Amino acid sequence: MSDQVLRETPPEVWTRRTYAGRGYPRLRTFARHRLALIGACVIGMLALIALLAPVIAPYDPNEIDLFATSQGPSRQHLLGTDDIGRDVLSRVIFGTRVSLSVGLVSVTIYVLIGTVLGSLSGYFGGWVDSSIQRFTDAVMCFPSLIIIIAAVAIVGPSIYNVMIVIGLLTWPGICRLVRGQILTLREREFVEAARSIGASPARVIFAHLLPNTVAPVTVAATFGVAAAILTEAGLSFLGLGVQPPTPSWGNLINTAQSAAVLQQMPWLWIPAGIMIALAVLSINFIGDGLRDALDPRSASR
Amino acid sequence: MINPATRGELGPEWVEERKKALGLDRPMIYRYGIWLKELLSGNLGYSLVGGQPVAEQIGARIGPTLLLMVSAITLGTVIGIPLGVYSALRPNSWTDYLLTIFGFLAISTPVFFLGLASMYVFAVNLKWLPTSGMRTLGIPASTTDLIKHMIMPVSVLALVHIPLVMRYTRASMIESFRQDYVTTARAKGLRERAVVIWHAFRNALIPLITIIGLSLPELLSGAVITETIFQWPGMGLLAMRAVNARDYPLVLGVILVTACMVLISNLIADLCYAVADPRIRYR
Repeated sequence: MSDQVLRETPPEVWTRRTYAGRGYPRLRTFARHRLALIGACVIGMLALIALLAPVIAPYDPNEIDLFATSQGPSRQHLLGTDDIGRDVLSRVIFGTRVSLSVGLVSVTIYVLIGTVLGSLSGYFGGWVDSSIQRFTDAVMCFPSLIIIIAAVAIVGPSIYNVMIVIGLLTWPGICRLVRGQILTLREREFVEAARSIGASPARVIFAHLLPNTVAPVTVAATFGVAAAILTEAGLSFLGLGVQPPTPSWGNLINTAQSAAVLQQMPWLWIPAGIMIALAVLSINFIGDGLRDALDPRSASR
Repeated sequence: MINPATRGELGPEWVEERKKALGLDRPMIYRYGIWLKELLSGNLGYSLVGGQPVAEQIGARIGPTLLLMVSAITLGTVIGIPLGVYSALRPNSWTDYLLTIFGFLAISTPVFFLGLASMYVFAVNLKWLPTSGMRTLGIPASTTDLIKHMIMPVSVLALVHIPLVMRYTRASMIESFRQDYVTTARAKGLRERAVVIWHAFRNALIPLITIIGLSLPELLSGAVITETIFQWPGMGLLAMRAVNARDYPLVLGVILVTACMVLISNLIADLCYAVADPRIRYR
């Protein structure tokens, strides 16, 4: 809605950055870009940790040591051990792999679906548009987590099913976005020019229209990765996501549902929680920076 | 439902008998037809686990969930709007900047981590609040007791809602300040307070109503997790129990009812437009 409002205001308004000329516009822009930069560094580090997990992790994440169960943080086990003596730090490190890959893969799936449906809908209009849009409405009226939980329960919880289910059920946002972009773009002269020299609809969509939607889709996809990581963590926390013994940040926190762990073994669940918040926060900062950089019209938001 | 240990002893005849009793011998499309027909008369089917009517179970759980949702939305909106207006009045100031960072932090921290952390601090360590449930067992039900149980789940859910309201209030207030009627209002000598509240905010309301209406599905998703952590006897907890027991009629019923709740909230948002903006009329 407010996007709409921003789009419809005449261009000269966008340049007037702040009301009454107060404040420090540069401070804000600079700070935001710096946050995006910090976010990018953190995500870069997490990606390295994920890639090099076997090298960095001090122990095998699934190695059971029955002589060192439920220990607090110590020099041997920096983040302590769980109830069957597995090293928590190693499990958190290996959990990075799961979270980042679920985020990337599920977003790739739904960006593909959303882009294809959105461009068909926007380009062809008519009954194609209305049927795709009604379908989108139908998917959107289900609270995402509830329908995802039900879907995962039917196909069985596993890391791959989680990726696929999140991918198949969260595309409506991208679909709407791409459709809106295509609707305005398809009336422009360059599209008419392409059509007049006999380009097929597929060529017009892929060669002329879609490249122009890359910027907003990238921004939405970045925020999408953050949301997908949160969803995976939530599912694993509920026991419906990545299944133990494979460690994921979400299922590491799952153990804290028992009062004893919550109370007496905070080293089991606090580190994983901080990692999720850190990763999601960094990705959101990157998304915000990208939005400023790629979409100048929304810079003042 | 069918215990694998006893299935061997009971034999295939028993399995067939059960299938017949549950109507599983009919084709799927026929079963779906029956479900739709019964739905029209308000029958959502029967739970596979306890055999209770699904509608009855959901009916018992819908109240606590609504209580949780309505309180969280109210609290989130009541806190979010002033923060957003404050940011919009001083855009790019340090306060604005800090509030933005707070917003990012609040939407980036998983609901279950917030819930567990607050439980760890306020219930386990400080012992100020009860850990879970809706009432203390063994003492007569009272409003104070209920409120004590509500504080943590409602705050956790509201914390997810605040940044959303705050960000959109800020954006649409800044948008309003650029409009000519605000300049006019200032030019005719109105006090700043009146300009902000009656001219700028009044017009910033419409996008806000949309956002609050659209945030309900997300809040319902958050409620599943919040209810699980705090053992709040609502639909989220029921959904989890149904999913874990593979109790499909119950799962189906919960999904249907939550989707209806979303549609109703969209309808309420549409009706609110007419109240907020007299130019909008429904015929």
